[in-house]
Amino acid sequence: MKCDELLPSYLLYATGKMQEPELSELRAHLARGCEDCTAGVRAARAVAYSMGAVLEGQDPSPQLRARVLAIPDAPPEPRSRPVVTRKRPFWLNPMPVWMGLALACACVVLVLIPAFVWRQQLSDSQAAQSEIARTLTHEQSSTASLRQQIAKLESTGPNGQPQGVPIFPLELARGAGSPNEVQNLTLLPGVRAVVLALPIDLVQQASAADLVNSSNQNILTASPLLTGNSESAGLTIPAERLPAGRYAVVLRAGERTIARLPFRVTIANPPGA
Amino acid sequence: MFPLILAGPKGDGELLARLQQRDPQALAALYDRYGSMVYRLILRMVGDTGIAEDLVQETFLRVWRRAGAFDPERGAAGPWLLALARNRAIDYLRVQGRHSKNTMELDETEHPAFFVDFPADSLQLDRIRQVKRAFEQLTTEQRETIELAYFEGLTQSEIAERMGQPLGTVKTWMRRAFQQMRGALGSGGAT
Repeated sequence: MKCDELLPSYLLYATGKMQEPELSELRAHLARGCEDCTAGVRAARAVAYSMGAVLEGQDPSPQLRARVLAIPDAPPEPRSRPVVTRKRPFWLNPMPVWMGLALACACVVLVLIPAFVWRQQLSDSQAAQSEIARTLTHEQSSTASLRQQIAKLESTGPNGQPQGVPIFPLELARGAGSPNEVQNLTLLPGVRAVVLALPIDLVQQASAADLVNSSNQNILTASPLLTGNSESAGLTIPAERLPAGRYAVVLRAGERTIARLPFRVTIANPPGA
Repeated sequence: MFPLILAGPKGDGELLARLQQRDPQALAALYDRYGSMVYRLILRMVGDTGIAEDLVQETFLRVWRRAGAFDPERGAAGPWLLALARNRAIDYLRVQGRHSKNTMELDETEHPAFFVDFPADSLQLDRIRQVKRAFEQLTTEQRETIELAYFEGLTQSEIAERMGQPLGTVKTWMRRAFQQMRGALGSGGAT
């Protein structure tokens, strides 16, 4: 840029209002040591500040002088604070690639371990539940079988008698017929028959059972006692053949007596009698 | 009335040397010499007497604190004071939104180094009269251009916009105004 082209800029440069790109061009021009432009800028400063000096008008108030004269008593200018470059928190700094990969792997492992443990626990839990289910099924099956047997006994006797037949267990009446051990069977009015439940362990050894009265006369004989895979056995006796008195069920294997189960029958009075 | 500058540059140098020694009387003497000139310049720019006095006080506070950077043998205290005062006013106007941002940093235009070997008589009475006569001989447009640039701190683009004239025309006015004033000031302004 020629010096003539810079002429209009001197005054603006002297007053701080010069704009780019002329500002940079003039600075570069002055830096190259142009004596004419250096003198021109200096003259522009002189003109500019002379402009400030030619103003006429009122004077400041006397108080202003007092204020200015108090300046030396003012506290010293605070030192500019040193520029403290705050260290950025480490989590804001760029992360090395290897550290990022390591963190990513750690995150994956941290996620997979609980998942693996949870899966293992789930598998164990399922196995335990399956075992419980099998046990429960077995128990239910056993219970169902037992209930079926009980229902069968309650509903029908060995000879298929109708439902409503009371069951009289003779479990505890084994052995010799001590009068003290004789059990009492009370027949209610209207009962057409009664089932004498026999101990299964004895029945399994016996081939026949005889019902005898107190005179040891045979009332009936049942043989065989068990059929199929029955786990219980009983004698169904018509109520008319059990008048009040003493009786006994004699279990025998052939001619050999295995057990004698005495009991007593009493007839209950009808309601309102 | 023009301000009467009774002391010459040598007197300024002595005052600056005493200011560097933290002599309060030197500050009082400097104010008595240039206080009114500084006040009128600031008042011309901000248009409020109270604000002008505040800015004058701020200007002399800056002189008190920065006198150590000045070379008393070669510096010109008067022009430096006017530069400080003008920049305080421009700073105030900028905060008020009445002035565009300076294209140059204020420190760049008021640094003591710029006032080394300044024309020795730049603020002397005769010199000021010369400036005033040269200013009055300018055309209205040239005068207005110079006033907008110096007292209101507008750029050439802002001046063109304010005056409703093309930028090239404003540049021509400014160039001619400067040449005319420089020529009127003679060798002293072109040193």
